[in-house]
Order: sequence, then C-alpha cells, then structure tokens
Amino acid sequence: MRATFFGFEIARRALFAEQRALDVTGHNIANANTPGFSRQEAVLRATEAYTVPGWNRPLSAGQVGTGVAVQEIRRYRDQFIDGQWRKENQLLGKWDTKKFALEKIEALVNEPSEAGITTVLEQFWEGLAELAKKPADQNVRAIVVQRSIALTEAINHTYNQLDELQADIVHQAGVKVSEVNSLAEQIARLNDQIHKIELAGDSANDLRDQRGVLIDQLSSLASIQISHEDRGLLTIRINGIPLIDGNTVQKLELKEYTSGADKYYRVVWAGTDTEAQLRGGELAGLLELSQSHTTPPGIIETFKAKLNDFAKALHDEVNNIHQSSAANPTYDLKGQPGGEFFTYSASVTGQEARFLTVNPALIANPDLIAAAAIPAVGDGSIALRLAQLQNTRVTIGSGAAAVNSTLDSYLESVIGELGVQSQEAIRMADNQKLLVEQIDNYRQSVSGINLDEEMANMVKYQHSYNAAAKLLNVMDEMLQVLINQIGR
Amino acid sequence: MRVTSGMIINRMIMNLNRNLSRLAKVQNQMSTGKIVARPSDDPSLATQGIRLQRELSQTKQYQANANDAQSLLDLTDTALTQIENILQRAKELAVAGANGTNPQEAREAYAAEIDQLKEQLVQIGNTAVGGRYIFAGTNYTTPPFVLNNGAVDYAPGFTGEMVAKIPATGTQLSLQPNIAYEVGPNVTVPVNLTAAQVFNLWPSSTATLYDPPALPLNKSMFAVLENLSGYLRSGNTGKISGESLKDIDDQLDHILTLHADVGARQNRIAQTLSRLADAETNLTELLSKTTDIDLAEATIRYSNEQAVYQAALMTGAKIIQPTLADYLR
Repeated sequence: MRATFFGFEIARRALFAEQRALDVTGHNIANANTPGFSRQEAVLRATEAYTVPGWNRPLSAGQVGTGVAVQEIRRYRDQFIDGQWRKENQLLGKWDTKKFALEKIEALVNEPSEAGITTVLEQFWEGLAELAKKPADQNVRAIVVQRSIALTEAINHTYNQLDELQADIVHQAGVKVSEVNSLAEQIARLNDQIHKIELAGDSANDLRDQRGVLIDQLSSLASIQISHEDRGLLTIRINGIPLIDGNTVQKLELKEYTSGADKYYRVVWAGTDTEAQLRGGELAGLLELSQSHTTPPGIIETFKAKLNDFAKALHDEVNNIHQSSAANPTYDLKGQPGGEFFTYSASVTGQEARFLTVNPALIANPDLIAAAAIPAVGDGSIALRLAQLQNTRVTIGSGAAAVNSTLDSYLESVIGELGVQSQEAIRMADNQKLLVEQIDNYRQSVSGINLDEEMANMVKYQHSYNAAAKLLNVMDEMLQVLINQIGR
Repeated sequence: MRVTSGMIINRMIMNLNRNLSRLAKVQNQMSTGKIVARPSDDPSLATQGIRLQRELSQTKQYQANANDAQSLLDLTDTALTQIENILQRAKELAVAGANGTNPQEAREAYAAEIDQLKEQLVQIGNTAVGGRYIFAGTNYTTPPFVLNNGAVDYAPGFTGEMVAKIPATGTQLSLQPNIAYEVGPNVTVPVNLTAAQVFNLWPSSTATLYDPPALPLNKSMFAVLENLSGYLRSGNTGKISGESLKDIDDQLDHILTLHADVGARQNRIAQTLSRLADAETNLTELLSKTTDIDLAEATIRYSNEQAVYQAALMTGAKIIQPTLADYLR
C-alpha cells in the first residue's frame, strides 16, 4: 500500500536537493577568483529506501526509493600536493630574499663600471706614479692627496652602505617575525572554529580554505612542519617545537644581544633564549644575509670583513713604505721625516673600512708627502715604491682567512665572489619559482574552478529542478482527479 | 588532467613575464654596449674585464713615463752635443795657442774666448725644461751652478752638496743618484746625468762611489778651461801643448762615452715605447672582445625575443577569452 502523498515527498526532496546543488555551484562560480578557494560539490545520495526488513513488512514489491538528499558538501583538496607546495615555497622564500639582497649589494658595489672602487684605486696608483716622476711639483702632490681622499671615501661609503643594508634587513626580519606571529594567531583561531564546527558534524569548507591560505603565507616566511590534525586541530612546528598547537600559540621574537660594543640579533621563542632553528622561508634568508657573531658569518658580515681586511692592508702597507724609520728613512718636501699616509679617524677594530682616512696633516699640506728616500726635493724613490705596491703581493686578512695577493686582485676576487653568490641565488630562485608554479598547477587542477564545468553543472541541475517541478505538477493533477472526480 | 581557466591565465602571465625580462636584458645590453652589467651576469667575465682594464691603464701609465723619459733624454742628448762642440772649439784654440809663432795678442784673444766658452758650459749645465734642471739630479728645482765674478760655483741652496769653489780637487762631494722612471713592472730606466758626471766634479779618489758609465777624471771641465785660459794669458805654450791638449781630449772622450750611454738609453726607450704601443693595442682589442657586445648578434637576438613576445601575447589573448557562456543561449 502506498501513502497518498508519497510522490510529493519525492518531488519535494528533489527540489530541495537540486536547489542546494545549484547553490553550491553558484558559490563555486562566485569564488572562481578567490585565492586559495577549493572547488566544492554537493554530494547527492539517494535517501533511505522503503521498506526495511522486518516482521510487519508490507506485501508489495520493495524496496522503493524515496528521493534524493545532499549527503555532504565535499571540498576537493589534495593534502599531499599542499604539503609539497609548502615545502618548495619555503625554499623559494629563502632564495628570493637572498636574490634581492645580493642584487642590492651588486648595485651599491657598482662594478664593473667607470665609477666603481677599482677605478678609484687605479687612479690612486696613477697619482703615485706621477709623483715618482715629479716629486717637487705642487700640482702632482695635490692630485695625489685628492685621489687618496677619493679612495678612502669610496671605501668608507661602501662599508657604510653595507652596514645600512644589514640594519635594514634586520629590521625587515623583525617585521616578518611579527607577521609570523600574527598569522599564527589567526590560524589558531581558525583551528578553534573549525574544530567546533566539525565536532557538530558539518564540513567547515570555507574556513579550511582560509586556513589553507594562511598556512601558505606562513610557509613562505618560515620552515614549518604540519602534522596530522585531530578533528580540525592542526599542530604546526618549527624544527620540532610547536608554533601552533591546536588553538594555542607560542610566539617568536627577534631579540637583541650585545657583545662588547656590537649588537647582534637572534630569532628566539618569545620569553626564552632558545633559538628557533629556521631552515627555510624568508626569515631564514634574511638571517643568513644579516647575521653576525655566528659561524659561519652572515653574507653581508663576510663582505664587510673583507672590506676591512682590504682597508687594513692598504693602511699598513702604504704606511710601512711612507713612514720614516731607522731602516727606511723617508723625507718630505721640507726634508722632514715622513709620517703616516693613511690614518683611522676613530680607532675601532673590526671597522677599519669605515674609519680609514688620509692623514689630515697631508690634506692640509701636500708638501708633507714623503716621496724621497734622501733629503732631496727631486727624489721620488719612495713614491716609486708606493706606486710599485700595486704589483706587489701582500698579506691581506689574518689567521685562517689570510691570503697573499696584490691589493687589486683581492678586490677583484671579492667582486667575483659577490657575482658568483648572486648568480647562484638568481638561479636557485628562478628554479624554485618554476617548481612552485608547476606544483601550483597540479593544485589548481584538483581544486580550481573551471567555469565551463560549473556552467554545465548549472544546466544539469536546472533541468533536474524543472523535471522535479513538473513531477510536482503531475502529482497535483493526479490528486485533483482523485479528490474532485471520484465519488461525485 | 583537469584544466581550469585560472591555470591557463596564470601560465600565460608567467610566460609573458619571462619573455619580457629576457627582452629587457637584451635591450639593456644593447644600450650599454656591454655584455656584463653586473657581476652576477657572468662573474668570471666580469673579473676578467676588470683585470684587463687595469692592465690597460697600467700600460698607458708606462707609456706616459716612457714619453717623459724620452723628452728628458733628448734634451740631455742635445746638451751633450753642445758641450762636445764647445770642447772641439776649445781644442782648436789650444792648438792655435800652442803654436809659438802666434803673437801674445792672439793668445789674449783666445783666452777671452775660452772664458766665454766656460760661461757657455755653465749655461748648458743649467739647462732646464718645465722648471726642472736636468743636470741637477734629485735637487732639480735649483740650478747647479752660478757664476761669481767669472768663477764657477755651486748655486746656493743646492743642498746635499758642499758649496765649494771648483776646481777644488780633494773636496768630497756627496753622491747625486740617478733618477729612474718605471717603464714596466719593476723595470726602471735611468733618465738623467748629473752635473758631477758630466763636468767631472769628483776627484778620482772617490771612484768607488761613482756610478757607471764613465770614471771621473782628475780635473773638472771648468778647471781644464780655466787652466788653459791662464796658460794662454801667461804664454805658457809648453803647458798648453803638454797638459791642456791632453786634458781637453780626456774630457772629450769622457763626454763621448756619456753620450753613447745616453744614446743607448734612448734606443731602449724607443723600443720600449713601440712594445708598449703594441701591448696597448692588444689589450684594447682583448678588452673589447671580452666585455663588449657584438651589436649585430644582439640586434638579431632582440628581434627574436620580440617576435616570441608578440606570439605569446597573441596566443594568450586567443586562449583566455572564450567560455561556455558565449555559447549557452
């Protein structure tokens, strides 16, 4: 025996289900361009058929279907591809950051060009060569002083710019740490909300999408490991220590330490001194560039050290020749013994390049340049030795980093090394970008919206809706026959 | 594989960006004319370029030094020739004076001319170019000699030397070292002669302190001429023919030796200059080959990149436009 209004229920269920499916399709179309959005689908399932097996089972043919319902709204997302994308994105963040900074360093070094430091050095040697020929010529002496000033100023300037860049990057790192903390808080909140919703039995699709976007951003900043979730609660760790544990957050902090007169920075877990071991992400890149008092030293710190070594070697070798001593008498234009050629305007070890300067006595009076080895105004042998210093191998640097080379070659090798590091960073960044884009394509393939597909679905659900409405109509007409026409 | 419109648009944008950055790089190369704009473009090429530039600058400096040396040596050469002429004239006068048949008045005339010749020697000794006295050694801002009432003396302020009357044999003079210019890496060439060398102002007992090329004689050139003048005025023909002629010959030989040495130096400088000119040409060529772009090749590359870029734009435009909505009623 069939219930009278049985058919209405089937039609009603169909209408609701198709409408709901259309809603989901509409949601997909509306969010076609939303970043991080995953395709959703209303999963339709036939509702429980009638009859259930039992003692009082009716004797007509069974089971009869009872219509359709939306079982769940499924979100299309591949966890594995997500994990891969985030892993490669960390490397991209690190290399991209290094690439930008190294390009900036190349720009401030400004080689090869006609305005770079190698040109200034070359002119310094040329000035000395002219002095060797014409030691009594006032013009030539003035030129030597001017070119020496140009050289020291170029060295000072380059060092200062490197220093500023380093400070800038440390500042940037501070900003990124705040970003990490803020993202972590947002993710924790979303964790909480998703957990509550899914405990109640629903799929928190859009919230999960939002959380995915935030985790993507976090992966670009720091090297995170995401562990399997427990009913919506994720744990995100940095090198084993949890940053986000469900809905609690342990923040990071950029802490300043001092060592003597120097300041240096570390990224630590807030309130402690434990370093957060960041192996990838933008923060790792920024730290690799700017860190000091570490082994191995940061990239900028290494270049600053090399510049210091160069300045010190220049200062020491030139003064060795120029300054008068018992074994090496030198005389200036007035027949007085020569003093220092280069001095430091302030005495700070480890910052020779910043404070290297020409002896102010020489700037005030170029006659005091000691070009002669005997008290005769026309002797330029000391100036000749100074000019020949260009081709002399000297020891630059100290300890394990000491090398034996000419001053010019040392500078060239530093520039070459800068070029190699920058080239590597550019190459790695480009490769990573390609890789990340490739994986993103796979992600899109699984989760992205294809408008053609959605529109085809739209048509599909619309037809079903129309048919269900028609069914309702037919049922209604049949009942009318029953009600109005039988027994009249 | 399922393809979404987002994927297509993303890929198109990525590829356009890549094309554009390649295009920008070629355009930059063409406008600067250099292959390498930054060390990271090609580190080894960049450092090579810097090194070649440095070698070229050094070569040019050596050329300048060699040119300066050449002008100094040329001037010295001329001065020595003039001294030779004077000595020749003095010899003629000595021969004439030694001839007993000439009257004393003639000898007086000769003596007067010898005095004049001596003063000319002093002037030659004070030859200067550009404020630089070429025979003054390392005190080149002061002229070596002055004339005090016909007596030759060191100029006051000619430091390092004792101010003494010449010909005071037995007076020690301090060494006036040669001045040398650098014409190659650690290669120097001496560019001067000192007054003491030329006019023999050392006593022979200091021969061990002396620089080659010629050993000093017992008498200075001025002493020889002054003696001759004295003998002429006193009519001592025996001394003239016995001593003065020999002395003048010795001085002449001495000057000729020095002159030959200067000539040798001039040859060496000339060869050095020619070698440096070749080196400069070679280095310039090498530098250009290493660091400059081949404009023809770069232009072709540029057109290529442009064509690729335009093709990418065109196909991209065609593929992102049509959707199903265009075809559903």
